[in-house]
Amino acid sequence: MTIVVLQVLNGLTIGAIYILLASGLTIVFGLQGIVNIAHGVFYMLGAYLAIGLYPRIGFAATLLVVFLATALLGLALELGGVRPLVRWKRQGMQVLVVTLGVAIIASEVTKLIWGPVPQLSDVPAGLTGVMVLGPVVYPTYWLFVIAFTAVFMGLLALAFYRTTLGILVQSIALNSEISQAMGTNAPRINSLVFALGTGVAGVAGVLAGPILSVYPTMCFDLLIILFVVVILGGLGSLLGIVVSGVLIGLVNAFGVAYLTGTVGNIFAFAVMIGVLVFRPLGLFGRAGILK
Amino acid sequence: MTARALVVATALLGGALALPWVLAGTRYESYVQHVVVQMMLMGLYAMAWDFLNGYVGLFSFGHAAFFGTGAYTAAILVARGGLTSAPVVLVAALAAAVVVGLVVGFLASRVGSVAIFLVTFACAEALYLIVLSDPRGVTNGDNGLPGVTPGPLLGLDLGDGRTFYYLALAVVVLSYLVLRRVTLSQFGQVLLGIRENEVRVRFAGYHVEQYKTAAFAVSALFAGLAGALTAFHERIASPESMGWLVSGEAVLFTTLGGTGTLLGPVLGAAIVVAAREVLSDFFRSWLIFVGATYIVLVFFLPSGLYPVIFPAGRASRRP
Amino acid sequence: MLTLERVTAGYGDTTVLWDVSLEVRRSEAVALLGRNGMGKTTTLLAIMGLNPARGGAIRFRDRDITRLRPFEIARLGVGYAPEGRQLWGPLTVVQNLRIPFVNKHPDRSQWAAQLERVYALFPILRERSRQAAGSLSGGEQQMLSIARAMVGGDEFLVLDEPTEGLAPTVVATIVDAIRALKAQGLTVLLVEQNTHTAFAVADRAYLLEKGRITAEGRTADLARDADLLQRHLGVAAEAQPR
Repeated sequence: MTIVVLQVLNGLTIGAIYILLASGLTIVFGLQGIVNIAHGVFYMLGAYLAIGLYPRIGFAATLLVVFLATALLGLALELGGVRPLVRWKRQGMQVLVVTLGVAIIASEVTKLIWGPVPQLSDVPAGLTGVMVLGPVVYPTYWLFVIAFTAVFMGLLALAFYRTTLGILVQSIALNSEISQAMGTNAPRINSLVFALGTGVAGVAGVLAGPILSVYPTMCFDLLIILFVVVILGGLGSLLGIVVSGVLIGLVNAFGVAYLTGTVGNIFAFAVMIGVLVFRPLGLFGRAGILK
Repeated sequence: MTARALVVATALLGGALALPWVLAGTRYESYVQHVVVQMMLMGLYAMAWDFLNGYVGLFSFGHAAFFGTGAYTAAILVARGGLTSAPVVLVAALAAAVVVGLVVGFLASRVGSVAIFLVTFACAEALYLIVLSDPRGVTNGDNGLPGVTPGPLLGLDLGDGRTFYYLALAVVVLSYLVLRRVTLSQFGQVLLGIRENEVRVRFAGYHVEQYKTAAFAVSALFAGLAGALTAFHERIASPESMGWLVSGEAVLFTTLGGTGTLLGPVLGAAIVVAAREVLSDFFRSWLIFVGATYIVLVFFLPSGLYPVIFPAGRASRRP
Repeated sequence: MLTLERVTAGYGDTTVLWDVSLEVRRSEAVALLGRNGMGKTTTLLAIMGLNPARGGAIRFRDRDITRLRPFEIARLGVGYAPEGRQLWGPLTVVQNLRIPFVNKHPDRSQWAAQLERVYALFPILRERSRQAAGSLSGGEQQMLSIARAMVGGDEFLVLDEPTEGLAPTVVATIVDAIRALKAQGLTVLLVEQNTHTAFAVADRAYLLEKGRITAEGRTADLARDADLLQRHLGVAAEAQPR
C-alpha cells in the first residue's frame, strides 16, 4: 500500500512537470495551429541556468530570472522564426521544421558549453528534507513541485476564463479572423502567449533540475513524452493536459517501479495509441481545432 | 521530365554506372563505393517520404519506424534466425515494414495535419524505445545487432562491394520508376486530389482514410527496403536507424532536394551524406549545420534545389 | 465616409470582384444587393481586410485602409457583423460583447453605458447575458451579432445578411434595430439578398452582378424599376416593399 501511494506521488510529481510544459505548447497550438519543437529547449535552458544561478541568487530569484530570460528568448523566436511564416500563411509544417532546426542547434551548443555529462541541480534550501504523510515519507521538494503546479494551473485557468486577456485569447483560439475583425491585435497576443509559454517551460526546467537529470538532449527526450501528453489530452485543451499529464505521469511512475523506465514510456505511447483509435481528437479535443 | 532533366539524369546514371570502373584499383575504391551506396539508400528512403509528403500532403515525422523495421527485421532473421536466403529475408523485412506502415497510417489518417506529425513521431519513438530496451533479448539494445551477412541474392554475392553497389543502383532506379508509375496511376491521382483538396475527394465518394493508410503502406514499403538494404550494407542494424534524427533526415533530404519530385530527395541525400563525410571529421558539432540547413531552407529555399536546377521540370505542380 | 475605387479581389486563382467602386456617405444606409455568389461578401471581406483587395483603393474617413490588417481597420471605428454571425459559441453573451468593446472603445468606463445601449435595442440579450452565445436561438444570435458590431462605439457598421434565415417577426425586430441605429446617426453598409429588408432600411443601393456594379440609385427609384428587380434579383413586381 505504501509503495502504491509513493508511486502515485512520483507520478504526480512527474506529471506536474509534464503539465507545466504542455500548457504552453497546447495553448500556442490552439491559437496559431503550430507546434514548437524548440519548446523543450527553454526547459533545458531553465535547468542549466538554474544550476549556475541558484547558488548565487537563491531559488525565488532564480525562478524569476529564468522565467524572464526564457520568455524573452521565446519572444525572439516567435517574432523572428514563427511570425513571418504565419504572415506568409506557411505555418504548420514549416514552423515545425524551423523550430526543429533551432532545437538541434540549441542542443549542440548546450553540449559545447556545458558538456555532455548529465548533471543534477541542488534541492533549494528550505525545501530539503522529507515530510511524513501518514505511513508515507516523501521529499518535501517533490511535494512542492506538485503544489506549485496545482496553484499555477489554478491561476492559469482563472486567467483564461475570467480575465479580459483570457477572453481575448479564447476568442482567437475559437475564431482568429473574426476576433481580428472585432479589433483584437491577434499577432501581438499570440507573441505574448508564446513568450509566456516558453517562460513557463523555463520555470519547469528549474523545478525539474533536482528531480530529473540535466543533459544536452533532454530537450528532445522529454519533448516526445510531452507530445503524448498534448495529443492524448486533445490539442488546445487545458483540462486535457491536466488529465493526461497526471495519467502519463502515473503510467511512467508505475512503469519505472515495476518494470523499467523505458517500458514505462512504451506504456505511455501505448495508452496514447489506444486512445487515438477510439477518440482521434484526444480525450478533450474539440472537433475543428485540428483542421 | 524536361529534356534538360533527361540529359542530366542520363549523365548521372552513366556516371554512377561508370564510377566503380573509374575507381577500380585505387585506394578510394571501397570507401567511395560505400559512401555512394549510403547516398543511394538514404535517397531511396527520402524518396519514400517524398511520396507521402509531396504527393499526398502528409507530413510524417516517424519514417525511421519503417526504415528501422526493415533494418531490424532483416538483421534479426539473419543474425538471430540464421536465415541465409536473402530473398526470403528481404520479403519478410518488406512485409514487416508494410504492417507497421498500415498501423501508423491507420492512426495518422484519423487526425489533422499537424497531429499527423505528432502521431507518427510518437509511434516511431515507441518502436525506438522497444528496440533500445530490448525486453526479449532480441535486438541487442543500444549496441545494435551485428552479423547481418546474408547469403546471395539472385546469385549475386552481397558481400562484394561492387556487386552491392550495382544492386543498390538498380533498386533505386527501379523504385523510382515504380513510385513514378504509382503517382501517375488512378490511385495516385486520388492521392494528389487529397493533397489539393481533401474535402472535395471525400465528397466525390472516396474513403480518404483508406487511401491515406494505403499511401503510408506504399511509403513504408520503400522506406523498409532502404532499411533492410542498409542493414545488409552496414552488416548491422543500429538503434539510431529508428531514432528521430533519421526521421528528420527524410524531411531534410527531401526539403533540400525538392518536395514532390521523387528525384530531388536522392539529390538532397547525396549532398547531405557527402557533407557529413567531409564535415563531421572536422566539426564534432556537425549537427549544427543540419539545424541551420533546416532553418535556411524554410526561409530562403522552400521549394528545394530541384526547381532551381530544372525550372518547370518538377514531377508535379504544387500550389 | 467609405469609398471603394475600382476594387479587384478574389480567392486563389479566381477573381471575384472587378473594378467595384462605391461610396457610403456619413449617416447614410447603403445596401449592396445581388444574388448568391455575385461578390457581396467578398466586397465586405475586402473592406474588413480579411481578404485584402488585389487592386484599387479603399478609403475610410479619408484614410487609405486597403493594406491595413483587420484589427487596424476595426479599430478605426468599423463595426462588423459577419456572414453567418460567427459568434464565439462557448463564450457568454457578455463576453462576446466585451471583446470588441475592450479592443475598440476609447473609454473603458463606458462599458456599462454601452451595454445599456445594447439592451435598449435588444432587451432579450439582458436576460441571456450569462448564457453561452452558442445556446441562443438564431434570432437572438443575430441580435448579438449586431450588438457586437455596435458595442465598440463605432460610427460605421458593416452588416452581412443580417436577416438571413430568420422568421418574419425576428426580421422585423432586426429591421427596426437597424433603423434605430441609423436614427442615432450611425452609418450602415448592408449586404442583403432580401430586397424587402434592404429597401426598408437603405437610402441607396448598389447592385452587384458577377463581380461588377451594374446599377445604383436611391432605393425609392430602384424599387419602382420592376424590370431590373425581376431580371437581377428574381423578385416579382408585386413583392415590392411598402
